[in-house]
Amino acid sequence: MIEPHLAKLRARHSISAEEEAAIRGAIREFREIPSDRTFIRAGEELSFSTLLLEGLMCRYKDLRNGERQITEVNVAGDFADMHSYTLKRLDHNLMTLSPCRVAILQHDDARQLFLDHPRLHDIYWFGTNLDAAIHREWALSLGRRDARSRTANLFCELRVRLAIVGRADERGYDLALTQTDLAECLGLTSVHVNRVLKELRESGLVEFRGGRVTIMDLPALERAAEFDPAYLYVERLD
Amino acid sequence: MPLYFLHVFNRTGCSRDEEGMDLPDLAAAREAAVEGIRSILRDEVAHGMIDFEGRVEIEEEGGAVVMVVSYREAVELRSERNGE
Repeated sequence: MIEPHLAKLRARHSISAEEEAAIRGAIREFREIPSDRTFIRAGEELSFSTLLLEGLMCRYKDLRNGERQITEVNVAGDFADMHSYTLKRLDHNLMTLSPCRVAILQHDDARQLFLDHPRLHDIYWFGTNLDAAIHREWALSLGRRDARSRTANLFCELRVRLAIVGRADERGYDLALTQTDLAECLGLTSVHVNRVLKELRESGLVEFRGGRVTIMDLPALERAAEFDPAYLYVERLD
Repeated sequence: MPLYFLHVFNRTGCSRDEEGMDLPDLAAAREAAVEGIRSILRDEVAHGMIDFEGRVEIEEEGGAVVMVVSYREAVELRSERNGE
């Protein structure tokens, strides 16, 4: 069940059979969550972290007028909130963007896992640092990239992240997002996203239609996005 | 909630909304169109250009265009010569 998570870990670190068994042993509960459900709200006290195994979910914050900013999309294999292990409550909400299968890691079990396997502690710390790197790239996108380049960058990022867990290749990937979801990631509106998608399609870079991202020209798409995958740290560290 | 399709037309052609949006009523659909146009114009301004030659057509499920919102009506324009 946790294969995508192990694939994500092993993209950067070796995980021994013993460490894998320890991770599997620490997870004692699996859940299914329907689509479009805010399943953890900012401020609620948390004694567990949620590991996404299948589907798409996101972290978001919103304003009183209902305007929502998605601050990261999580894909299969990602912990949605490993940071709640130290924060104990979140300053953002967690919402499913598609039907999701998740695993629950109780913080007490996480603590025991880290005590028994200090190396795994560092590896999970790396994971939360990786989230922070993604947030910084999104800050750059939202603050400085134009709509076209920002959208292109999101498609590039998700391609790399989904490829790590075997859900994307050079040609594209399934992405169960609506234009409104994309708009909330990109700080745009659904109408504007529609316009940008047309531009990207007509420039021969990428097409997004019917929940599928079709990469038409990857080098050109990455150039349009000024995409530098260095912030995703896709390299074996040990 | 009714489904509205917001198609964007400008000088470079039409981008059809194939997905649609669930919105409470036509007033909310108009608001979404206005916000959408402002978002597009904001991006243009950042590139030093504004083109008001465009519109959003709001289509109901079934295919009837029930409202047209022009780019020009999405923003109030002020200048010394009163918008001209």
